[in-house]
Amino acid sequence: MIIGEVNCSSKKGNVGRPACAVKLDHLVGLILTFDGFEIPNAKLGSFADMLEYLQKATLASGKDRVFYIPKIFGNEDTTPDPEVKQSGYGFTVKIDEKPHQFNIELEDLGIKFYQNLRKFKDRKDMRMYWIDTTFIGGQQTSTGLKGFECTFMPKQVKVGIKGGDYTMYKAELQLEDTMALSDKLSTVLFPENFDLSVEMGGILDVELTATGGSGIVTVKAKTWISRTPLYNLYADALAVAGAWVVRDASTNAIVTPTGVAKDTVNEGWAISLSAGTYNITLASPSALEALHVGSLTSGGYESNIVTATVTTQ
Amino acid sequence: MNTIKIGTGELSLVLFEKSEKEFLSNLPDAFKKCLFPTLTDAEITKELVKAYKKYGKSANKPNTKKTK
Repeated sequence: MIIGEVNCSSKKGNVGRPACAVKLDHLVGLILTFDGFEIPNAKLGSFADMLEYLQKATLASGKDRVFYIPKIFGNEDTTPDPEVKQSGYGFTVKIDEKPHQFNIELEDLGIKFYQNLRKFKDRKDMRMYWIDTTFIGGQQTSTGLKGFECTFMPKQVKVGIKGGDYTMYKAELQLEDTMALSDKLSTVLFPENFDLSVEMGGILDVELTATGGSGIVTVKAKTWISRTPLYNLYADALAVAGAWVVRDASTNAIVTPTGVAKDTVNEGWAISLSAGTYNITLASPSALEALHVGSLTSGGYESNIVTATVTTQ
Repeated sequence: MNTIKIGTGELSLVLFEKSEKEFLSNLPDAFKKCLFPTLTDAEITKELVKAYKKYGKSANKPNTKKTK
């Protein structure tokens, strides 16, 4: 088990363990997850196993997916002071600690990135792993290491005033458990000179466009933000039936195309289908990764759904 | 996967369960061009027939023709 020596919990009340420091300016990233996700004990046998598990989870579907937010800086602790309750004689009888609150500034990754972050706003089922310069922090359970319950609220963008100014992308992070960064913090130390932002990616959105024709649909794909045609990167890898999910638009039943081919003229892919209307999307990020479209370290791809009508040939 | 690699893409093996004539006519012309973008129509047909001979429904059946 690689969960650490840096675990600050102490059942006997002993104090003074020297390795318990958590510093806000050491927070360099977050891994956001949903309730139910944890790194199981079986994957905490070695750092490599744990890393691979997290990398795969960046390409998973639904609530099993983790979202890695690299490069956090400009943190500010806005945690309210504890509420001190006193007896009638003026003695302190109770101290109510408040949830940790931080204002964090994120790397300027553009408008679409921020638009996606807004999807986390107001969600009550979010958790986060604390990424320090030297460790990943979470809460140890009997079955694994899970993130701390949190709310992640992107704040209004502070637009740069003139050329050369950075537009500031800020968010408010609240850890609901007042003991998250002390008693309950369990850590896994990074190997020396390890940079998680190099080893973990995320999902890139892909915009598909489709044109129906006689016996075929021609599909083109571009990354949403940088507008890079996927054809330039994966023309051959995507020329297989397994790279696409085709559904009958009226019944939603999965349809197997009779063929898929690279379309060198249109710089896209031709999907051969019988007459009908279809909803087409790229296969899941993990299925694409198996086809070498994307990778565990650089991230994967997920597309919108396009509809196209095929006429009789 | 029940597909075979051919040209710039792949075809479902289901296509090969039909007769050669149906196999050739079931593939849209535009799709054939995508599979073999540098070939002429005649050359494309030749390639497809070659594939059909290899994977088509009669490809692996024993020769039942009587010999004298």
